[in-house]
Amino acid sequence: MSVGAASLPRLVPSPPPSSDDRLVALVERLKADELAAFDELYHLTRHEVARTLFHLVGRRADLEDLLQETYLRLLKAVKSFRGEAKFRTFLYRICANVALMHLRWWRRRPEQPLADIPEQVSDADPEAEAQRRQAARLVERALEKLTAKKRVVFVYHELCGMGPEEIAQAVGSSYNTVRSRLHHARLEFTAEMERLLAADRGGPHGRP
Amino acid sequence: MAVHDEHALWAYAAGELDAAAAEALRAHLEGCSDCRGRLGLVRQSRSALELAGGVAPKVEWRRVDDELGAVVARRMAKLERRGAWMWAVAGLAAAAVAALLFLRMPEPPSPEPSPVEPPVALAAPEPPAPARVETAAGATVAAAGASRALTGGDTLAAGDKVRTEKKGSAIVQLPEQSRMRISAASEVTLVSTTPKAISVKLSRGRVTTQASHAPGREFLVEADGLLVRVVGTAFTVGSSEREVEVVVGEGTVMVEPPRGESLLLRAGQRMRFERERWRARSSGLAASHRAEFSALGVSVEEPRMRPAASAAPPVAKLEPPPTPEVPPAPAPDEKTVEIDSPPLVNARKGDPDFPEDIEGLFLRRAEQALVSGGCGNYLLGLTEILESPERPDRRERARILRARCFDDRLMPLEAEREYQLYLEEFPNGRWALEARKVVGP
Repeated sequence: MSVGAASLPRLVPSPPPSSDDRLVALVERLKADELAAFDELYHLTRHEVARTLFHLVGRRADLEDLLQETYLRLLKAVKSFRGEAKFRTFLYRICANVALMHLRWWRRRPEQPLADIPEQVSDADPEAEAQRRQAARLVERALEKLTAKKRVVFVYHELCGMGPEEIAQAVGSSYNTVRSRLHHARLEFTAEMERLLAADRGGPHGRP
Repeated sequence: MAVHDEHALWAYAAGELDAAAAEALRAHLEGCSDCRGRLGLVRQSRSALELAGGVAPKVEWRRVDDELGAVVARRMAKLERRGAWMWAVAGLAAAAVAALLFLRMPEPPSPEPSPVEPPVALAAPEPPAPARVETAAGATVAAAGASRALTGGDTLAAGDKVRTEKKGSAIVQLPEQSRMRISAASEVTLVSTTPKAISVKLSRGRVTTQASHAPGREFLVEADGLLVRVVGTAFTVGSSEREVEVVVGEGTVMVEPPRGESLLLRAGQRMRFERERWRARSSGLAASHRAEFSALGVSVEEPRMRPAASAAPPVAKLEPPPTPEVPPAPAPDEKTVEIDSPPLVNARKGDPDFPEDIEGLFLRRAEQALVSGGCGNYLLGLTEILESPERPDRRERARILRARCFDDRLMPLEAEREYQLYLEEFPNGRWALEARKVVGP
C-alpha cells in the first residue's frame, strides 16, 4: 500500500498551541515558586511535548519516563529562563537534550524490534486510519536511519514546524550548521522512504 | 538546475523557493522525467510526514501526573521551608543592624547531586563602607547631581562617578584593604562598596585594582558588559573605543565577555577583547601596566609556562577555540616590554595565593550554563581547571561538566571521550555511574 501523494486532512486534530506570552507569564509565576503555575504550564504543553518526544526517540523509549524527565529538567532550569528566546524554544531545547540522551543510550543496545504502541483512537474512518498508521510506521523507520543530530533538526523542522533560526537556538548550533544537517537529513530520509516503499510493494528496488 | 538536485526539489515541494527559482525549476521539470520522478518521491515523503505528524501517541497520563506531581510537591515544600527559615533569620538580623542593604538568597539546588562547594549560607546584610581617596590630581567626582574636584582624604559612596583628566589620576582605598588606581582620561562609577561585594563600572580609560585577599570578598569590574571577577588579586581593566583589555598582575581572575568564551586569566597575562565580536587576543604587558601595578605596591608575577611533559589529557577539539594572535606592534607613545605571553591553557602549579573562590565560581557558572545555555563558553576555562594537580575534586567536576556540555551541544563523540577520560581518572568517582551509562560497562 502506498502513501498517497495528495494531501490528506489531519485525522487527529492538534489542540491549539498556547501563546508564548501566556507561557512566559506562567514561567514568571513559577519562578516565584507558585506550584499552580507549574501545573498549568504542564497541562498546556504536555501533549505537544509528548508528540515531540515520540517523534524524536520513536517507540523504544518509555514515553512516560521521558515526559517526567523533561518536566523535571524544566522545573530545575526555569529560573535560568530570562526571556531572550521564546519559551517554546527553551522547552524544545530541553526535549532535544532528553531525547539525545536516550537516543545514545539505545544506540548501544542490541537491535530490538519496534513494538507497536497503541495510538490514540480517533473517530476517523478505518481506511484513513490505516493509511495514517502506515505512514507513521514508515516515517518512524526512516527516522531511525538518521543520526541523532540530524534527526533532531529534521523532526523540529518537518514535524514541529520550527524554522532554522529557532532550531539553531534550541540545539545550540549555528544557523548554517542547522541548514546543512537539514539538507543531509532530507536526502537520507527520502532515500530511506524510497527503499521502504519499494519493500512495501514487494518488488525490486525502483523509483515510484 | 543540476540534475537530481533533491534539496531543491524538497525546497520546491515545501514552498521554500522564491518565485524566480521556482519558475526555473518548473521549466526544468518539464523536460526531465527523472526529476519529476524524484519530486514525486519527495511529495510522498512529505505526505507521510504530514500524516505522521498528526499521530498522538497514547500516554499513561495518570502515571506521569502522579509521579511528577509527587516530585514537584516535595520540591516546593522544601523551598517553602527554606523560605520560612530565611525570613526568621532576616528578622533577627534586622533587629541587630541599623540599615539593611540586601539579603543574599541561596542558589537553587543543583540539577545533579553534590557540587563540590558548600551551599551558600545566608549572608547577614551589611551596610556599605565608605571608600577613601588616598591621592587625586586632575580628578573630579559627580555625586547627587553635583560635580566637585576630588582631593586626598575625600570619601566616596556607591553611585559616585569619578572622572580623571588627560593627565589626571586617583588612588582610592576601598573596604577590606582593596585599592584602586584610576588612570588618566578615565571614568569610573562605584556601583557597590559593601565589604563582601565591591563593584565598579568602567566607562572609559583604565582602572588598576588590588583586591582584598580576605576569603568571600569578591571584586567585580564591569566594562561594557564584560565582567572581571576576582578575589585577592591585582589586575587592570582598560576600556577604549575599539576594545576592552584585562591585565593580571597577581593571582587569577575570571573574565566573562558578553559573548564567547569565559576565561580564567593568570598573573602576567594580558587579554584584549575587540568590542564588536568580543574575540580575545593575547598580548604582552606594556611598561605602563607595570607602572600602574607598581603604584599600588604590586610587582607583576611572571607568567608560568606549562611543563613540556604534561600529564594532562589532550584538549578536545572545540568549535571554534579562540586563536591567540601575534601581539600588535606597540603604540608610538608606549614602550612595550615583550613578554613571551603563554598560551591561554597555562598550568598554574603550586601557587600559594591561588584564589580558589574564583575557580569555584567558574565551575558554578559553567554548571548554571548547562541549564541556561551557553556552556560552550566555559569549555576552555574548564580545561584550565583540569590542570590543577592539587585539587582532584575540582578536576573531577571540570571533567564531568565538559562531558555534559558536549552532550548538551549534541556532540556525542566528544562527550563520550570526556566521560571515558573521567572514568580513567576517577573510576569510582561521584559521577562514575553517569559516565558508565554513556561509555558502557
